[in-house]
Amino acid sequence: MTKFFTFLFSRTDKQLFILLLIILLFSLNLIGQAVGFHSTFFLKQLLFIFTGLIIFVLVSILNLRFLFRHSLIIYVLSILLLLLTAVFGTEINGSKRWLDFGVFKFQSSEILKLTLPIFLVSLIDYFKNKSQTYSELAFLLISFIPFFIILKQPDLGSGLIILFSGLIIIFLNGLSLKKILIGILGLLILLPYAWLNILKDYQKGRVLNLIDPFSNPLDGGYHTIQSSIAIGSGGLFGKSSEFSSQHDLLFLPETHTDFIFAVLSENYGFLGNIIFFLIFFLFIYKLVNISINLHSHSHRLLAMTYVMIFILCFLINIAMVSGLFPIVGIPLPLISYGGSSLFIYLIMFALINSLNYNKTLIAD
Amino acid sequence: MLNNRFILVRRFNILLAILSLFLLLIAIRLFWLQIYKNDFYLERSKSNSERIEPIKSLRGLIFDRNDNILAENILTYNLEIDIENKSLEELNSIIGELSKILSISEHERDLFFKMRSERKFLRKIPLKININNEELTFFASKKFLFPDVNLKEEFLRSYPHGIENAHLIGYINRISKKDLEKIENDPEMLDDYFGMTHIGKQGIENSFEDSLRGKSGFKKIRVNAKNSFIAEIENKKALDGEDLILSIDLNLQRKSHELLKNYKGSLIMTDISNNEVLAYQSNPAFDPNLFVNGISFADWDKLNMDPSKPMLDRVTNAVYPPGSTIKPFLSIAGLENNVINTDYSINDPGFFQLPKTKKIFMDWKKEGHGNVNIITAIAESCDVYFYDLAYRLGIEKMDNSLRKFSFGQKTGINLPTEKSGILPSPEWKLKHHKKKWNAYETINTSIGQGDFLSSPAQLVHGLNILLNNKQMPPLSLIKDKFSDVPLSNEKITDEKYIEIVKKGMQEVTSSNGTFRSIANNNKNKIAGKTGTAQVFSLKSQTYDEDNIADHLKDHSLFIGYAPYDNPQVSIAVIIENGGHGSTVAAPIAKKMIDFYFETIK
Repeated sequence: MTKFFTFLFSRTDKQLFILLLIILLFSLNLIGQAVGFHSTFFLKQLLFIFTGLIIFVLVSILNLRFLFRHSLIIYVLSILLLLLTAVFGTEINGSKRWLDFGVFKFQSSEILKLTLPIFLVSLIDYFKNKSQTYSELAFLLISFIPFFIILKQPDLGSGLIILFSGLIIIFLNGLSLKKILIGILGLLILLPYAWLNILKDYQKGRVLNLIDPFSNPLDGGYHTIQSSIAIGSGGLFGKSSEFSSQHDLLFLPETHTDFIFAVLSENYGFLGNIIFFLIFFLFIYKLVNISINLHSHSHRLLAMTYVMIFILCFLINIAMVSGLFPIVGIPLPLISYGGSSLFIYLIMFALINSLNYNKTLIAD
Repeated sequence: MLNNRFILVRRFNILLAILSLFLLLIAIRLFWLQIYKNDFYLERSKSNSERIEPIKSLRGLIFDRNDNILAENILTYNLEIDIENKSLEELNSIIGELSKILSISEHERDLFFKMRSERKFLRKIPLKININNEELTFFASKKFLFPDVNLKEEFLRSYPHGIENAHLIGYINRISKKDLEKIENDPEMLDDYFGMTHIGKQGIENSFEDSLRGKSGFKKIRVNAKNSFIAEIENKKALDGEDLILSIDLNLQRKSHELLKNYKGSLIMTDISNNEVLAYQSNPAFDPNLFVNGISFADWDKLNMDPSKPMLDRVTNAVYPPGSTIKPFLSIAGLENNVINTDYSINDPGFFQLPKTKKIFMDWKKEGHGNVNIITAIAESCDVYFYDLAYRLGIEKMDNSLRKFSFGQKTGINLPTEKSGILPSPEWKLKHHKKKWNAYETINTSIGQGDFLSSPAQLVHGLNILLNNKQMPPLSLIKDKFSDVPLSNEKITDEKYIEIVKKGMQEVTSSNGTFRSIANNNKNKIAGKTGTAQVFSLKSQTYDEDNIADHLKDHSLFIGYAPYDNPQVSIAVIIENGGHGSTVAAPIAKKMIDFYFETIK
């Protein structure tokens, strides 16, 4: 038994693991404060974290060559999962994003965060001798397929994250400045078209609410106003108990999921936020360090892409909760309640961890 | 691809740099929210969860002097809609659904939306007032369909003797836009009226609004986002209004209403000893209960368009020429200025010629009264005697004496719309008509004509001053409430002058007096003075009572008291266009006085 654990931990970066545990404990504490330490949400999250850690350990010892070798199948299965969701998915609040497995609802778009980068990175060797433009267009196409399916769920936020992960890989892989400029120009031209034809009214509303949340305080603006109140009333050290909290009185909904950052800000104040950022900063610093020092190009690319997705989601969620960004359903990585997102991130870090351990074994 | 790694790391660093800028932006935003705007958001989070619910005060009851209830609060059930955050369309659809199970009139709907637009701070607005038992149970069974509609126990003001006390008690009505402006300009009033829906509009309900209303309280509670109660933060109890016991006697009110029923006119009866009002009646009147929850447009139009003006309080808010009822007071003026005395008499040929002019003033009795002294002059209401008196006295001395009986001044009765009337004088004329006083106007004034105007309340007040021979407290509608102003016990004039005038008024009901019709039927010893006030001055034509339009007929007046040897009650009656004082007003006064002694003993 002890041998098993020594085996396990010998394959794990201890600093990374300890930081991860600290973050997860932080998450449990916040969810407990948001919905109560005896609520089913809290107990379920406890279970998710426990399961997640087991998955982390299992993935850490996985043979990664297997993943790269079967990346096409993994990608195709992921797309199938999305299509399956479109047909059999559970509808919540007007969108079909979840596959119901009884004990646990799985948000299928999450898996693409994991599998799309694997597939794209595994293709790099395949395109080695082809023209750069050719490979870039292929990458773009491969990224757009899941993006469109997720857009139809509808879930613009997750879709954009998936699309971004593809774009990040293209960019990191040495996209020329000329193409970057062309891309930006194309985006600017496409933006009015997207506003008029692709975005739904409620999505436009969310963008407009950002500019002036008080114009529409009861519909779209409500979340932004209430979360701003929660954050703002936290002050430097957090709100004292003499004031009723926003989430206790249910003014701020979904505090345990997308808006958990508001609970943090309200209860621990600006100082609490700074400490929270510091922990995340250390964790990310560790990840960045590992990623840069990996030995193979494709491994570095994969790890960096995962790190980018993680940072991006982290920042977007906080920007959204603090009223800097439209309300898109992106949870706070590792903190928000929910299994799907947690498992995906833990698998990502497990893969990075595994790549780190195996870097000596795999030649470039 | 040798510099693969170099490119990759550089690009990665570029992305990290961009995201760091993003992080910086977020940090600034958090600083702004949590540090810079902390106070603002703390306040917001507090007000987010605090609700203030008004607690209405219970309006004071109004009783007559014998504890009969004149204004009460009855427990009713109202249907209220919580209008917070609801659009017009939503409210319309709720009311539409409601009207499928309950009858909701156009009027109720109008009032609801009127209140909604006028009362910005009310969260709940009544739609249907005083719903009956059947509707109550029916609604209760369907309540689950209407989460925002509630049954609310509410006290409804009710006037059980409605029309009989209409002008006296007045009524309450919903707070209007105009009232609201007044209330909102006064922070203290704003507190007292917090959550209140009604305000006294007329009569006692208006003039005693402050004490009847009391002060509303409030409950500050903490609620969650679903508006469910969490905790009570503060509770300020409402201070209920004070009950009011009037000096009025309900029996006399009913009797007077019955007596005036067929006339346009008014009546006021008082206790001579303390100036308390026992009966206060004006006819035609209205049902005050119509107003309590907003009168319908149809009813309001009907009341306002009625040429007989049922909304006019003819006791204090209408002024008339006092006519001959002024003569007793004028007699005092003559006596105390030594212009006349008991030995003084004149020969009345039926007219008076203003000396040095050709102006002739007729007596009402064309053939004249012959030889008259002060007693017969009052008893027979001899005009020429008083023309002569006025001429020799002069307007200034006349006014000085009449002013002591409070003519041209308010009696101070506790009602909102009292008029002061006019005691004409050269100064008054100069001020209001920019004209000099003419000698003949003095003569007109002597018989209560010309510009002379007084209300029935003033006449009875003046009479009480005369009978007591001292200044009286303001006419009071409240039992045992004496004026705060200390009054001097100083006599107004020599007691013997009072006795002379009283003798004259006693003679009015004798076989020689103008009210001789009761000479043999005066067990309650009524004395008084009749009056006939010209509405229209006839020039060349003779006044023919049978052939003149009703509204041009003379007003019939009577002031009187009883018993003459020990005065207890006094009365003033006016019947508009009633003709001679002795034929209409005086008999009504007699019936009232007789009824008074009947019921008192």
